[in-house]
Amino acid sequence: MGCWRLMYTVFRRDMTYRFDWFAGMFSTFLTAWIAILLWQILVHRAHYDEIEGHRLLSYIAMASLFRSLFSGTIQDYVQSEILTGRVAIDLLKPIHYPTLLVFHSLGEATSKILQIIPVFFSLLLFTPLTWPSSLLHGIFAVSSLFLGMLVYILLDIAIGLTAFWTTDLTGTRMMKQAIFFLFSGVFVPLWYFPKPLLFIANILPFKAMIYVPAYVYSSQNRPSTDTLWLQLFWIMVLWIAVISLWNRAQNKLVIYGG
Amino acid sequence: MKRWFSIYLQLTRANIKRRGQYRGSIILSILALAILESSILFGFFIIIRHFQDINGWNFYQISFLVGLNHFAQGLSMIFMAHSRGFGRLVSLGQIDRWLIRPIPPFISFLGHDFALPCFGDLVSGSVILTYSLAKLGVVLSLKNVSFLIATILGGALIQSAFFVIASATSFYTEKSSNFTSLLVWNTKEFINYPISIFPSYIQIVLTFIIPFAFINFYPAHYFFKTQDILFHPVFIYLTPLIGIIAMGFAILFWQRSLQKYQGSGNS
Repeated sequence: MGCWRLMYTVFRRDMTYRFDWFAGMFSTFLTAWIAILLWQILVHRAHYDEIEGHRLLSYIAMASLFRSLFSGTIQDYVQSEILTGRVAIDLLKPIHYPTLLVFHSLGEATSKILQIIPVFFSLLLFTPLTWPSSLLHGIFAVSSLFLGMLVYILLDIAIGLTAFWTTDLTGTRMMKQAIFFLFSGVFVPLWYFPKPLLFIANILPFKAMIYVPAYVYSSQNRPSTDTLWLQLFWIMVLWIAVISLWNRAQNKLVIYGG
Repeated sequence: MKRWFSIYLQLTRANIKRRGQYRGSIILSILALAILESSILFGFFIIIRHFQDINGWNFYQISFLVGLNHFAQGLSMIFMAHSRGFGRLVSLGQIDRWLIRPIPPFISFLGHDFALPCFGDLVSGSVILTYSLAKLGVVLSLKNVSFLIATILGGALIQSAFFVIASATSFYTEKSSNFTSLLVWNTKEFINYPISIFPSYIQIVLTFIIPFAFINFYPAHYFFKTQDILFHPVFIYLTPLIGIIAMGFAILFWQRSLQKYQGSGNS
């Protein structure tokens, strides 16, 4: 109960600054649109057949649309809580701290999901993005997007918790973003990757965040549950990592400030 | 003026000490920036491997664009990185104390942070620039190097001007992180590609309204000839001038916005 309340509060907080929320919406549109413009030129010059071209452009559109969902601030939150000592107050709350962080992130994500829905429809209208080839594809894409977001949130929290040791996350966060950019498939679809890079992409969790839902959305093949299992696998692994990090962090905690 | 400068230097010295506390993090950031730039280049490499070129631009020409963009950006970020979280400072009421200091608030703004990690952009940027220029067969003569330096300085000024403008909007709206990313980061994504691939209205915006194309696209034509120079060839040389004009305008706008600021927060 408390968790849902927290999620709602964070959601409300992000919706308070309406101007900024709309700016975020427009920026999501712009990101997707730049990517579509680039790939349209590439597709055009490579003389792709129409179906193949549309499939590629749908992938690109969805991948860059999803990208804005993968930009939570939970790491900054954990870091500033530790630096200012406010984490003490969160520890007093009768909620398991990692769970609290998950719901905090979900609250943030909710306001972003509301942002991308209108963008999705305008992309459908103004760009070559098409509906998924069946309702089943749509359902699979939405559920795999949700799982992908959970993978991302848990990875973020795991990294955030390392701040109990390092207190500064700037470097780690940038590193994560750099790897995410290439291996999540947001910039270049993974099927163009040469073998060695593809191998790296396959063993990292980033593929489960953007590539999987965007691929499921745009593919013509019957969606299979394999990809969902892959995502569930990563959720489990990362949740275990978060819990064990947290168990250690509790002993490590030093409260600064007051 | 001289006194302000020495105050700025003192603030900066303090910031370097503060940032220097997290040495591990700085090293990681420098590494991370190198990885980020290689990620972008890897991405282009994969694209160009499959599609031969991007509108006639080969991999090294694209690398040069990316390198120039990131070098100028890194240089600007060293002084401006905090503009990203500036809205938060405003909404917590933290800038109120700048207003009662006996120096212009803009100096306090400049001296708020000195982002050592962004030196990483300079390191990897110069590696990319020298590598791609060498591959393109450009000789690093005195003339070429001085043109490159002037361009980078001008580009950094253009970039900084937009950081200043974006942070000034926080005085009106209190939260502007999304607006900053709209004005700076999203728009900057365009210039990782040659802007000639975009529809003409985007080219007009990136040349005359948000002149990011001057950071890399126009000056790049000084070093190699592609058939797609836009508007007028004189644009190749204009980067430093545009930088100074943009920065002047940005400072004026910042000052004007500060006049409108009404105070906030309770800390």
